[in-house]
Amino acid sequence: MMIETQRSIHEVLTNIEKVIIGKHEVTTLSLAALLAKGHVLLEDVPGVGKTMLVRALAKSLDCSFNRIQFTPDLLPSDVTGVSIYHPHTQQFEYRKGPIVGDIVLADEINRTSPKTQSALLEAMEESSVTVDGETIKIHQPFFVMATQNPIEYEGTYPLPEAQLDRFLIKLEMGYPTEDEELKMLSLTGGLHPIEALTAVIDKHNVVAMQEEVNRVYIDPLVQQYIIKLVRQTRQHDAVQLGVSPRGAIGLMRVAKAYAFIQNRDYVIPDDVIYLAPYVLAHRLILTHEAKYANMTGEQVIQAVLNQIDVPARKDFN
Amino acid sequence: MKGNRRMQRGEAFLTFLLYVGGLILALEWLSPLHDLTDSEPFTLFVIYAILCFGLTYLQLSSLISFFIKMMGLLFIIDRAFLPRPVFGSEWFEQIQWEGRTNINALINQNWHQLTDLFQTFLLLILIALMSYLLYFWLITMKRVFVYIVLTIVFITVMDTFTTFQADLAIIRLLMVSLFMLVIGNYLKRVKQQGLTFEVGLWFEKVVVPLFVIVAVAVFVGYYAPKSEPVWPDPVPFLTTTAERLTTNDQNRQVGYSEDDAQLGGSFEQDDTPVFRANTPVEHYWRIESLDTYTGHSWERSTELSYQSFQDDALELIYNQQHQMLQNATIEYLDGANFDRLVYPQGLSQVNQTEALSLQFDQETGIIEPTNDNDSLHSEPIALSFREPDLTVDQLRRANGPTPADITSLYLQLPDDLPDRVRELAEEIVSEEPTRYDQTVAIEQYFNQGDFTYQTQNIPVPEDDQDYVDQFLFETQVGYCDNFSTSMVVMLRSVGIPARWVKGFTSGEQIEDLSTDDQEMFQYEVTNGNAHSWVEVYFPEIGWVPFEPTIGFSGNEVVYEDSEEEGDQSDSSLDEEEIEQEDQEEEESLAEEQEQEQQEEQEETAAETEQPTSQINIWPWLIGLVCLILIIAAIRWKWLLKKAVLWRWSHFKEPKDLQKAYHQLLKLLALFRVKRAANQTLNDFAQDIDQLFGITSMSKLTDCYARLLYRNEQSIDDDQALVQYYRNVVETILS
Repeated sequence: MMIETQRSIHEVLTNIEKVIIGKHEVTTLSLAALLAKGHVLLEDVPGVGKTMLVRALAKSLDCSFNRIQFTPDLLPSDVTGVSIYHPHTQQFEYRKGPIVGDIVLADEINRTSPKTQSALLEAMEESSVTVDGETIKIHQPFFVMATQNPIEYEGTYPLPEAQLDRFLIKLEMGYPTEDEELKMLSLTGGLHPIEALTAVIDKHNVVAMQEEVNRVYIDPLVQQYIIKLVRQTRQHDAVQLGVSPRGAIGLMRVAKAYAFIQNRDYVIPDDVIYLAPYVLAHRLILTHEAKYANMTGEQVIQAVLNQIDVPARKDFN
Repeated sequence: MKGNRRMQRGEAFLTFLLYVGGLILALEWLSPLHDLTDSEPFTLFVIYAILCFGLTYLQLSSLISFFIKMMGLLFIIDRAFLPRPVFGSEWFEQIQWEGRTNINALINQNWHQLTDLFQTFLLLILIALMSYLLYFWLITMKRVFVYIVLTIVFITVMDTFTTFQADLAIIRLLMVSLFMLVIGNYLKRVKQQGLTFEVGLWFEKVVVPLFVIVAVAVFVGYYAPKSEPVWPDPVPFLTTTAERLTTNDQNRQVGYSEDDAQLGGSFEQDDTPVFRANTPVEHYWRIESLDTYTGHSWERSTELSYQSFQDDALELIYNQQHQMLQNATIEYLDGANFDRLVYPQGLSQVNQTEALSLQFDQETGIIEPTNDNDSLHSEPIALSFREPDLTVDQLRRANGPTPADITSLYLQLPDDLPDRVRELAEEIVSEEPTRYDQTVAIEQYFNQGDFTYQTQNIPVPEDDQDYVDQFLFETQVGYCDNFSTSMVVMLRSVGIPARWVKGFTSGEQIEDLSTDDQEMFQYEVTNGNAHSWVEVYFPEIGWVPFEPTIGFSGNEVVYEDSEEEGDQSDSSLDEEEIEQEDQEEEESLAEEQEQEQQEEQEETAAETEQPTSQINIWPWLIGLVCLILIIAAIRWKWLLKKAVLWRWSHFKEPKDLQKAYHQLLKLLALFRVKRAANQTLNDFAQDIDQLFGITSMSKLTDCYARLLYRNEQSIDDDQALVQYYRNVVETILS
């Protein structure tokens, strides 16, 4: 079973990388977030392949793919769906919004109003939507990849900082390297590569994998390490509001998923250290002084990682 | 860039300080030399040490530095040992002789025959080697602690086992060590953690507290009350224990002791000076006499009844007031562990001051301070005495009745004295008419060749044996106690009152203080000069000293000289000549005896491996320690590797692997790379593997990580792990 899933994961990753050139890290982290039942916030300029990544992921996993293009005039009901009166049955009938799907791309969420944003975020957090008092559960796999343009662009509504906590991971795509860009050009032409992609596994496999991720072992030693890291973010001078307990849980979940992807059934501190900036940085609210000093959440997390000792010893009975 | 340079300068300065500390400690190693040898070579040693350390610090090319060090070494050797002019014929002869002697000594392994020149040569080489070693240790490795511990051990051992006093050295050591430890630790941290060095901050955070701590520690240590040692001085304990294990004799330390509960047994030579005396004539120094012989020991039958000491109160030989007073001074030294006055025959006056009043016991002649608080040691004591003026004729005529109080005390003999002693004595004196002649006959009996002077391998009489009987008839070897006790016993057995006297011989003349109008010599008297002799009572004359011990003279000289001067027309001129001849013979014999004695001592020393003189220990001690250090410095990696691998030949439990793994981390930290506390094990293992071009560290780490983070409870393939472990250890220690 284990070997098979491993091969599947490997195939998924290679499959996606046929389309997304040179973004192994982003791909892997996205998959990890998906397996950890979390959602990803991608922050980058348009045109670096955000949409392509999500579509490739959906296709490889044989999942449905919905895309919501956030605009300033988008209403919450455009996301969650509406109940409309059906003249034949003389009843209101729920019509699914685009959020109810397997893999959802929420494009440029900082272009829409906070009201609509929060509708999205609530759906993400609860894995359900409530329309006219009726709660509709969204089944796993449910994976939202939201993208936002860097906030200094004009005409944006920055996401409330507290809302950012809802995203398990925040990633940046970054521009490809020269070689990678060249390779992209050579691949373009004729049939779009995304069309050529075939599914590697199906939804049920994904759900099964999510269950397996849950069973990945994490030693109390590593748990303590996570807690120490998280608590230390609350002590840091540059931080106004540190990482919440939700952040700690998130870090543990991603660490398990990441270990699973790495073909390991236990979490090691290396996983935690690697993931901490992606999982924790966007959850910090820095002090104004720190912001003026151009300090970033990543820098703070790095400092915290340097301060906390890696557990390297335990009491054997 | 500028800050960086300043930082490096600061570091270089601290390193220099560290090395200077190392030099100061090295000089402490040499300081026992100062006490144990002359001071002139010591100054040269110090200069040479500074030269070597300086050269090593400068890191000149090794050839130049070696050349200069060798030249310095040869210069010192030449200056201290070889005759002028340099390259003269004598100079070459001396070198040839030295070479021959030392090569012979080395081949025959007669270590004590190595000459001073060669020993000094070795010492200087050791100093030069030490400068290299310490450079490596202190500057390259920044390892301070071991060196300090070794130094402290060395100094304390020297303090305990030799005459070297380390009181001040320990204080200096404490101060220098604390400084060195702080600097060393600081430098290590700077190196390991990439700390920046800021002079101001360093001064405030390190230097000031350091000075305060050192000052407080020294102050408290110096002025705090110190309790007496819990253990007795280990040296006598060790020597006696060692001797009990190796021989059946009970050795004793030579010297004056108030206790004579046990006669017999060998004694150890001890050259600790006891007192220094300025006196115009050479004579013995009397302390006390004892009256009762038990067969095994000398005791006092009377209680000491003290009366205050007046001029001429203690008249051993009566009616000498017409003789001229001679002045002498005595200065007690630290080696004197008794508080009784040593005085010449014919003591008349002692200069009693406010700080010192004296009392004396008529019977024994013990003179002591009246108050317990007074001490003879506090200042030099001036005294005057009259050289007794007796003639042989006078003594021969002294045949009157002996007072009853003398006979009751001084004719005592043990009841179980074997008859053959008395028979021998009677046989010796049978032909002699007078008490004096009888006494001389017994005194001379020991000089006839049957008896040997010897301090080693002297048995203690068994319970049913008599000390005198054993000496006269069985062993016939012994030292002053044997001779003098035997003479007293023999005299008493033929009815001549005699007693046993303890004190010191005249000692060694160390200076001539004579002026035009007065002769004056300075003598140094050591524990080795402790002696016992005989006093014989002559009616109306008093107690006259005799010296039965062969090889000794100087006691009767007073008496014989005066006889010569006072009675030149004496009828017994022939006898006198004979006696003079005897005396000459005695002297030459004494020299021979002394030589024999020395040889014997050396032989015994070699056999029992006891050093004859404590001074000779130190070069070998230093040499030994240095040798160990050098071996450790050269082979330490190898030793460490063997030790570690021997320890971890298998990993039975997770605990073992954890211990071994962390030891490995420490080992790595020691040599090449230290894992930062925030670095993961895997990450670190990869660094290590990359650094050394191996894969074992990652594999080993992977297994350990499983124990830690996967909570595995057992080790599957421990031999593979051992192999990985071995690989890593061998790689880093190669």
